[in-house]
Amino acid sequence: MSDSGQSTNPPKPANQNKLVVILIVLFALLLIFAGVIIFLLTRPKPEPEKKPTGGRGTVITEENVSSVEAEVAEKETAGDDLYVTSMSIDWHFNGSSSTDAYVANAVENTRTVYFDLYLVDTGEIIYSSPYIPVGEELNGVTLDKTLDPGTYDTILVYHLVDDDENELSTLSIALTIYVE
Amino acid sequence: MNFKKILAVSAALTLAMSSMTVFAADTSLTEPGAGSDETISGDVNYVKTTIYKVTLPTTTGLDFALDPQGLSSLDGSGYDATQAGSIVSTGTMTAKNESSVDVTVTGKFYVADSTGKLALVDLANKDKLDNTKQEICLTIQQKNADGDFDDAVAVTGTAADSATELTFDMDKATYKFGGDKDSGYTYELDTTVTDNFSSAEMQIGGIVAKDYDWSAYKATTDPATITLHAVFSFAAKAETPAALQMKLKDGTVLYNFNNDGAAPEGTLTAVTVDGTSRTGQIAKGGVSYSGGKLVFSASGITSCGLDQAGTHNVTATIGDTEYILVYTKE
Repeated sequence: MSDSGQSTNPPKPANQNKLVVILIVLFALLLIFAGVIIFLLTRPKPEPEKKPTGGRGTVITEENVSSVEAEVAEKETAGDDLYVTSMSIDWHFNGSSSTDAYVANAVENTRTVYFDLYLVDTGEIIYSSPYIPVGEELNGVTLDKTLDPGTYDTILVYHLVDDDENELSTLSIALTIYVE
Repeated sequence: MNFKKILAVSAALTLAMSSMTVFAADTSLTEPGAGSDETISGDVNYVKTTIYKVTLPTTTGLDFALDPQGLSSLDGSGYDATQAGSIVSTGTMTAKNESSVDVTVTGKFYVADSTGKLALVDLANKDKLDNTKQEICLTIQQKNADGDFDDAVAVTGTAADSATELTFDMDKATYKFGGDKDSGYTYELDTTVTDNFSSAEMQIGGIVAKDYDWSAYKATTDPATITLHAVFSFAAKAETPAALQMKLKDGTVLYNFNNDGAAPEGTLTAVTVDGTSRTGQIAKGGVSYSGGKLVFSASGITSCGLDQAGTHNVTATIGDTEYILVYTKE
């Protein structure tokens, strides 16, 4: 201590204090930003609207007869009522991978599709494809699980979706797969 | 369904063509050939010639209307008390085949009712449907070549394992080899052929009890539902009678030996061509047998002398039985 009683430690420069504060603020902002990113990436996507899995039976009433008739009349083309399948039907898997599984979204179609592959016995989905836009194709499939060698009855369900990924209609195809 | 990716970024992406394509051409190629796999043998580029392209109705194609009071004109009648109690299609159910092979399509249909109380009446009892009860007779008909709808099939199944089956055949489309020796050969629909497809139109029909109170199905909140489910399958139409056929690698069926109608079962153990044993070709892949078809590969054709003009006598021992086939090369 000096004779005047003041501390002998020199005071920190004001600029250095400001720098520390800025760094702390930036770090805090970085943490907040990272948290937001993590939240956005990990939150579950809202499930798109799913349509009935079969043809819908509508009971005609006096209240709805006009609207039902109008809906049918407005269908100038088959629209989503038909789907052109372009695919191989003999799928052989070595372990979980197949090189002869082939699915194309034919150019005549008007909707993006994806398909799920179900085991008939268990109802388990063993493969879900990415979206396949019109005009593109998928060559080869790797199942989500390895099945024991054998023959399996499956159902391949095409899901036709609109631009917002809402399901418009489906088409189910029975398919036998062979695991070697 | 989370994080479903667009196929565009997948390594498996390719642009779809109307045909199965082969790999890059070999400049030594001079012609395409039909086969079950894409292979090159000598100067022939074999391409897959079994291509499936089948149009089928989706769930919206299976939509239908039940008109207990005969209010709609969907059946072409307008309000008509005599049409009261009818069921009609409101979707499009036309199947179409543009495959390179004749196909047999099978549809397995069943009706699901959310109340669990809907009675499905079969055709035999259609006239006995009780109009005061929760009963329908839902049918599916197929239009024949004359444009008339064939006899209906009543859907009486209520689950997948009791589904009602409808089977029909459709003829193949006309295909041709495309591409060239520089870009590689393809097998594709012949676009010079008009209406290059065959189709099978179907429709839903039937009757619904006209005096039953169907209000549960018309409720604005949590209405009861009736849905028609379908699972389709298709495959190359079985050649009948199933018998021993001899095919060369180009797919030509040369001889159909009509035995008892069942495809011979067993392992191919011996082959002779014109009296000469060609059994060694089995191990080399020059000749093989599967499902009623004795198939000679390109190399097997050459090795066995089947590329020579004239009549050739072939024997094939499958299991314990020797079969005789004749091939005439012109």
